[in-house]
Amino acid sequence: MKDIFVPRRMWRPRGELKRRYDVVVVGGGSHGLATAYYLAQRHGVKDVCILEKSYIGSGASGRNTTIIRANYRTPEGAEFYGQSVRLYEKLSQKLGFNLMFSQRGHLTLAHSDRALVTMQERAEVNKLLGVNSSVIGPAEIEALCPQLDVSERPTWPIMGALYHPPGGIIRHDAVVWAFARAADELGVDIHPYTEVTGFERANGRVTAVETNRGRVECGQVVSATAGWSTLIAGMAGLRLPITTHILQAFVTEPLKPFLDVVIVSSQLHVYVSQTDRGEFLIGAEIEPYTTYCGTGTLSFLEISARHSIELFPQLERAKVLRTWTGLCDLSPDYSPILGRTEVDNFHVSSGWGTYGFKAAPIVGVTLAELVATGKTPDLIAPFALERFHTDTLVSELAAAAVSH
Amino acid sequence: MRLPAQTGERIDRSTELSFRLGPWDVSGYAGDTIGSALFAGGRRVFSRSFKYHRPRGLLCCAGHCPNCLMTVDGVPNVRVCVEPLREGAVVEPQNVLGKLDFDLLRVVDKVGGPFTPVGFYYRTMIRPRRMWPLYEKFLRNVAGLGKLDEHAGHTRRYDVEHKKARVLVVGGGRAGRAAALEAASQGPGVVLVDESDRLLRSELAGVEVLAPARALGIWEGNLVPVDCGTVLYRFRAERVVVATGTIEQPLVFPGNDLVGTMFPRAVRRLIRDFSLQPGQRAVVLATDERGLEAADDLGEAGVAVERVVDLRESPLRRIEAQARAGRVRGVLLDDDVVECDLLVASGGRQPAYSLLAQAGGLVEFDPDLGVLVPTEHPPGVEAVGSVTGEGLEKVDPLPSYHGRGKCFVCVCEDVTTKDVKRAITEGFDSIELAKRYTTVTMGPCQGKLCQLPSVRLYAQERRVYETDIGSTTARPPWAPVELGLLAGRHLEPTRRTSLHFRHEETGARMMWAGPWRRPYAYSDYPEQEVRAVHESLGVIDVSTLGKLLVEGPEAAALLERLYPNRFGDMKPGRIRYGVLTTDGGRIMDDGTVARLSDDLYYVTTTSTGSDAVTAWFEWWNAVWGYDADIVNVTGALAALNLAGPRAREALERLTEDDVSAEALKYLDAREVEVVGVPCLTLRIGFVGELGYELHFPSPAGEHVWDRLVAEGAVPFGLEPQRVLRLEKGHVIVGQDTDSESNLLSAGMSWLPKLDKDDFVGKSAVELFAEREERELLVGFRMEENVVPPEGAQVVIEGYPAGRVTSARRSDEVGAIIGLAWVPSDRAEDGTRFEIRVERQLRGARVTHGAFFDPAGERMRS
Amino acid sequence: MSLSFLSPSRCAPGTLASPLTRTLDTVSDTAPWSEAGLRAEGVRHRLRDLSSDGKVEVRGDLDLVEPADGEELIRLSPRRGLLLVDDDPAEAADRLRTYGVRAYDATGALAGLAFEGEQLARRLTDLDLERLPAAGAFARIGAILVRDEGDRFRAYFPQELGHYVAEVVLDAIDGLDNR
Repeated sequence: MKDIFVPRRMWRPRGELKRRYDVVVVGGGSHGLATAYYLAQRHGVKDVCILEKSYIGSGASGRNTTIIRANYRTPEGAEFYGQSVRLYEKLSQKLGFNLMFSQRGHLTLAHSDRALVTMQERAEVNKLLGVNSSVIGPAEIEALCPQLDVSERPTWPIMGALYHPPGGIIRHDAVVWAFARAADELGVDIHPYTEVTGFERANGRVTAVETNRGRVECGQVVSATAGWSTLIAGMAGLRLPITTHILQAFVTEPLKPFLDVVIVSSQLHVYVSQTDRGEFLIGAEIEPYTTYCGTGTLSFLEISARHSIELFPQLERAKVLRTWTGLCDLSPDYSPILGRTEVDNFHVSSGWGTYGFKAAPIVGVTLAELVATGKTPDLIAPFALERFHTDTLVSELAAAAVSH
Repeated sequence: MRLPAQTGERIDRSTELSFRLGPWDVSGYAGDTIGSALFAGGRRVFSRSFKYHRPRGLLCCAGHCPNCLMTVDGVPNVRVCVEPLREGAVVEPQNVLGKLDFDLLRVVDKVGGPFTPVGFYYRTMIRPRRMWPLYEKFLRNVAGLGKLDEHAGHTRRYDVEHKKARVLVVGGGRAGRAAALEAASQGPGVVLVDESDRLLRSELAGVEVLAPARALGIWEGNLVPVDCGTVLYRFRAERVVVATGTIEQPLVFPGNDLVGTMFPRAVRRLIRDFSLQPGQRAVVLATDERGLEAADDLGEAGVAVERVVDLRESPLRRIEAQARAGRVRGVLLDDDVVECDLLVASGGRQPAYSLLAQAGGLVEFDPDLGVLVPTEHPPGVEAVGSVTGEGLEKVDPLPSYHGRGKCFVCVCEDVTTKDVKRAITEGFDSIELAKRYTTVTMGPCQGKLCQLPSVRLYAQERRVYETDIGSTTARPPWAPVELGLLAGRHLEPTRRTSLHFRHEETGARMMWAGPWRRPYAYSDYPEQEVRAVHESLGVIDVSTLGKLLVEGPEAAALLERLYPNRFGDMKPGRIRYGVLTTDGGRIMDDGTVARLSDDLYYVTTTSTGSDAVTAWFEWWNAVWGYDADIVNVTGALAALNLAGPRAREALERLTEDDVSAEALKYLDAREVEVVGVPCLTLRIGFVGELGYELHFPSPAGEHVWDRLVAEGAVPFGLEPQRVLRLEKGHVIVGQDTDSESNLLSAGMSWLPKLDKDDFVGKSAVELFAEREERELLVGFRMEENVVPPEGAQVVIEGYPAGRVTSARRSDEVGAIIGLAWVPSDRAEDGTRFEIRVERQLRGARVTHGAFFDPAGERMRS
Repeated sequence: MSLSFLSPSRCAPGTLASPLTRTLDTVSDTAPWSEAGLRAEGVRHRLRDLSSDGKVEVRGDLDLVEPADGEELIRLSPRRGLLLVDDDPAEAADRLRTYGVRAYDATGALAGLAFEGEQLARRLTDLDLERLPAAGAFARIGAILVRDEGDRFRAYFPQELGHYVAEVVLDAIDGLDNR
């Protein structure tokens, strides 16, 4: 509270790169910063630096749909993201920064009987693992979100929904800043505008990191670079089974509160929520093609607008204010690739697709534990890169809607 | 109060239009904007600001700033300064608690200042945790601008039209018009887009003029959507010429947002276009010629011009607007107070470069001009006129003038210089970080009025050159655009079989099945349709099945390599079941493959799989280069499955061909002419009874269907079909299998032929053969009379260990049966396991083999 | 085995129906067009159902194909084309095979609609109307578009989407005065 009367620095100004750090974290987004923070806070590992090629939170952390939820399909996923939501719930208090986590409830709409089955499956898995989630019908949907068009008029009428009360939205930049402040306070050096250009390797390990500002020797490396994961891993001589796609989103002009819950429709490829500022935040699914080109497409705007109006006809005359794209690192089974790799001291947090932001705190906790102790926590063992060699995938890919 | 009639005014004094502002009747003239009519009626406060709820009045009169946002005819956030007045319009203020002139929330401005610095919400309302929802509710209600009409929607017709242009000129100013005329002299295909409706079309011979209209952005391939209100023109232009000119920028001094501060061009518009007197007593602070022009305009309009200061010649240290009830009552200039009710000020003109930057052009700060200018344009795009910086003179006002009171860098978001300075002190020192923290450039103007002032301020505060600050990324659209316009018409592609209307006429309940509409059942009693198939005769429309012809001397080789099982050794006229696997060995799709002749195969796929399978076949064929063509004939053919003990007898009555059990054996494929229609007839049994799939030209769909029904075949829908196939334990790919399922785990280990040289996914299937599967797909019977929902979990020690993929009540079997994935150590025939149904665990037993007619005698009969 | 099961022309007379008939016939009493019913009636004479016209899909070296009188070859790719025929498409397919290409009767597969008006065309497709025939997006689906004299166009599209396309075209006609 007193911070509002006396301005206080969030973090130290960027200093010189030291010659060596025990841990070099590549990527100054929510995952990298959280990992650095928990390394220092839980394990006393404070000789840590963050190398960020732009400003902190400039990548996926600042471009996602800000949705937090845990209603995943696989037991492994539901447990992992469930713990993440629980961490998020207390994170504002822990970090002393209001992240504005608003657990307004999350509805995934079903427009076909096949989609309903997939949701039933998710709900059942979730319930067994203590994640609050259930399938509800049109009447209950209408009670939760009377603004939604639950009539038979739309091309794909709403048949039901997976309701996840703890799901909600959060102020994404605040998560980045709060972790950055807390990590900085514990002595972590944050180096924005410091781009990794290569790695020096010896004996199957990374010995030093080369950057546009010079060379840093390292004990261990963590890459938390989302859309750039394959490029950074490639510099370390590692191939990841990841493709990079763009995801597009837009906001409308600010409007008075209209929508409380978060609405997702995979049939219509849209996510709709309303921010605390009053903007509708509407995003699409990942584009099917791979690219790093961030200019986005007009057809995205057209299709998303059409489908948003199918759900909320009242939005017809709301105005699109700004549109942008983010990069998504997609793994073959839609589960993350997290932890050790075949390069001995090179750890990754990657393969997140659209789920990365939801996992930031738990990634921080588990990766920090792995880096500090050398032991992979059970929670993330199923997400090891090795699963693509042993062919033990963790499929978050919902069953395709097929019927004879 | 209007000025006397003058030449060039845009109002038509002979046509009065009446409209409403809240409860009041007001009027204006044709040619007015809603803003000018309200101003003429004496209204000065148009809106309340985003955060502090300060009164705001007309500032730019160009549709850029947020000051005149009002709700018009239920549509929120309309910029009334440019919205044409129309008879009967209903205008309402927004973001107000109380009245426009007396907003109860102005308390935030009066006393809230110290408690609500930039980012205050990040530092407060943290504890207790459970209070946040209440705080949030309050914050949300205070924030936001206009209100959506809860009952609105689908009120307007929006269309999309695709157009071409050789040269598309954006902006109808002097440079834009010249560029358009120049281009038109070289040939047709020149289009000029302008936001105003005051262009003289007669001066633009040979140019197609779209106005008022707005180019929203320049996308790849020079795709330029143009907003014309209810029609979106999607232009493809060979060349785009951007002539968007400049935007007047605010001068940053305390009180620079007060009602009564205006930009020079706003003054000119009010006087010349609408014959309005912008104030009684004016002070003009000029940084360029436009300011001085405004002073002349004011003089001519009879306004007392109290003071004109040309800041280029006589710089000031201190400027401070003084207020009474939120309106300008005077201004302190250094040490002098000058009384006035109109303060005309601008911080120069910023090139309107957004379109260029959004399309990938470069923008840099030009120290010689003191503004941001586009320096490198995207391919195929040019810029002309003042948007390039051409003709601009150096403006160099102070980034912010000293004085008391709030000094706004961004009027949209109520961000003050103090906020920006504080953000920098706190460590948000790059412009992108500060943007996200202070929200400068994120409001309705999208940086049009705040990018330059904030760059100047960052440079001053960080003691660096403006050239080192950069600018925030420009993002489309150029100006806010209605979702409805982008959406266009709402009809969506829907696939219907040639029997669609027959089904509807028969009373079928239609449902979505992938991209298709299909009958769920023809009554509320699908079990009756099941019984008809078992006891007599049924017919189902399976036209949605994917159907491919694969033809060529190497067709057999292609299929051999695509499928894990064998097709090269089939005799013409025979059918075999096939499952496609991905390169990872997962089940991708299934169907039947009939060999029609040595080099011609007929392949069916699942209903949703036809496009993907066609692409898959074509992809691999392109890789391997076989002499074979793949033709998707899904839509060409209707397909009906005639099934039931009476099927042969019925078919015999409808054809003269020999369809006896000897002539047409199980898994035979023959051409049979049925009721005058040539049918590729496949004798297969997905539903477990004697059955024939008739594939024939889709235009004959209704004819064949009608004759089969007349012969006593009972139409059955998808739901009865699902029951029937479940009784046989037949798997539905995509329902009983998912993206991880493989042939071995799904109980089809007999299918892959590992002795083949190669097939897609072979190495993965070999790996599966060596290891034990984690889970297996098995049939089960419930111990109790409970139907588990599909998706229900198999539970072991409280943990999800498997799942039900199909479950139905079967009258024929006399039990509740289903398919489920269970751990491989629980997959033995007869093993008991538990399924969670409505919070209770219910017992079930693994059942190997089909539930009904396990030997398959009925379908082979 | 022959491919005659692909050919509507091999069916007995009186057995065939067009996928567009119901949509076009019920213009005036279908709800979405009720207001525009009369206007749509007015334009109906400018819409023509081409679904029953003969169409043959050709695969192989298109240079080998010699279209006969009344036939029109639309090249979709170097190895893929659509031959529009006046006479029996099944016979045309057989004849084409003698040239050394593969040919399939596509009459039942593709519905067709002729319409008038360049503006109407621009509301339905982003194809370059000066470079037709071409295949591309039409009414948000994949179609083949041909231009005849003046402002007359023909579109060929999957018959299972025929009802949808007819609805879209009628709706677009209804919106032509929105400009």
